[in-house]
Amino acid sequence: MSRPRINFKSVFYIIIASCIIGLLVNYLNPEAVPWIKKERKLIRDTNSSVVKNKSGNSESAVTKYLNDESREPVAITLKQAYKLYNEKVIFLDARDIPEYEISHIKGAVSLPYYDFEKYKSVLDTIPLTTPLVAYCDGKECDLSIMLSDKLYDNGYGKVYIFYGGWVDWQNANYPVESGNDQN
Amino acid sequence: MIKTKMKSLINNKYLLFLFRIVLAIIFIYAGIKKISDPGGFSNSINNYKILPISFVNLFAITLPWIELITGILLLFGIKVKENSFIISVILLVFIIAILISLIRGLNIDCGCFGTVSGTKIGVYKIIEDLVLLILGLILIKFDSDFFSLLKKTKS
Repeated sequence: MSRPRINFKSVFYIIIASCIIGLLVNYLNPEAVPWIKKERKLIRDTNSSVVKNKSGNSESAVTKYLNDESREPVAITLKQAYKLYNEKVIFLDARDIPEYEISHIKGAVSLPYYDFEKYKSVLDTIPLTTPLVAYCDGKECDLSIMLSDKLYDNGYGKVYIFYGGWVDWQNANYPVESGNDQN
Repeated sequence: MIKTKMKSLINNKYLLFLFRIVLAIIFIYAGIKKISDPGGFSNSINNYKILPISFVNLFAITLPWIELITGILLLFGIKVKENSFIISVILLVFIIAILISLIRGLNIDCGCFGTVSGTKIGVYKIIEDLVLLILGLILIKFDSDFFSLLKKTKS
């Protein structure tokens, strides 16, 4: 015969023991995460009219950023993204392959965040000093931020986060293309 | 009539043992995958945008260990009812979290088995969790002491 009911005392002990082990292991783990997660604050450029102005005197966050050796990724607006696009800056699409294949920003390279390890070879030919723009779906999509952080961890010091992403780009009727025409 | 027939069909020690092992292995696997990448799992939880950010990491640190340990205990047939109960509650939380995210139209990674080779949330994920939840509930109801490390001395 099976026991008739759950022993909640045991449930409590199992959960408490697991939590203690978890906290202890995290404490000893070199890749530990802090107990309290810090909000990922986006550095934004306040002067949206300036993106990349090598000769100008404008000192917006982004221009400063471009001149610096290496900086954490900064967020840019649609307008800034379009300027960078016209300057042939490489766009990286952080969404999954099927979404990329349906449609993406013209010339963008697919680098799905969730398959980063598999597809990171696309970065092989891109020098670490190259400016990059990471984008994903839109406002509710954090993939661009996570991809940017990953790129930064991989040594890319000039990464932009186009947080408005694909939705804004489409709404603005900027150039798009579909299919998988990257090599 | 049908109810008792169903009951006798499910209340079979080999079948219950099978359910126990399946649930245990899935939870052990899920736990290990998440433990190996706490940062990734923390991001996955954060993507759901349900928990306040201050709780995200505490959840990311402890939940995988609860999964792993309940899985191991279940595998060895220790405190089967209690561990099945914990697993069922966790599954219920997952189902609710995925449902909320689907309703809000979030297109995010499940984080179910870590972020590497992750799958997107969707109706399929809910069905998967529901099936596991049913296994959990069956184990709460019927227990399974077949091949148990702690053979009960008294019945």
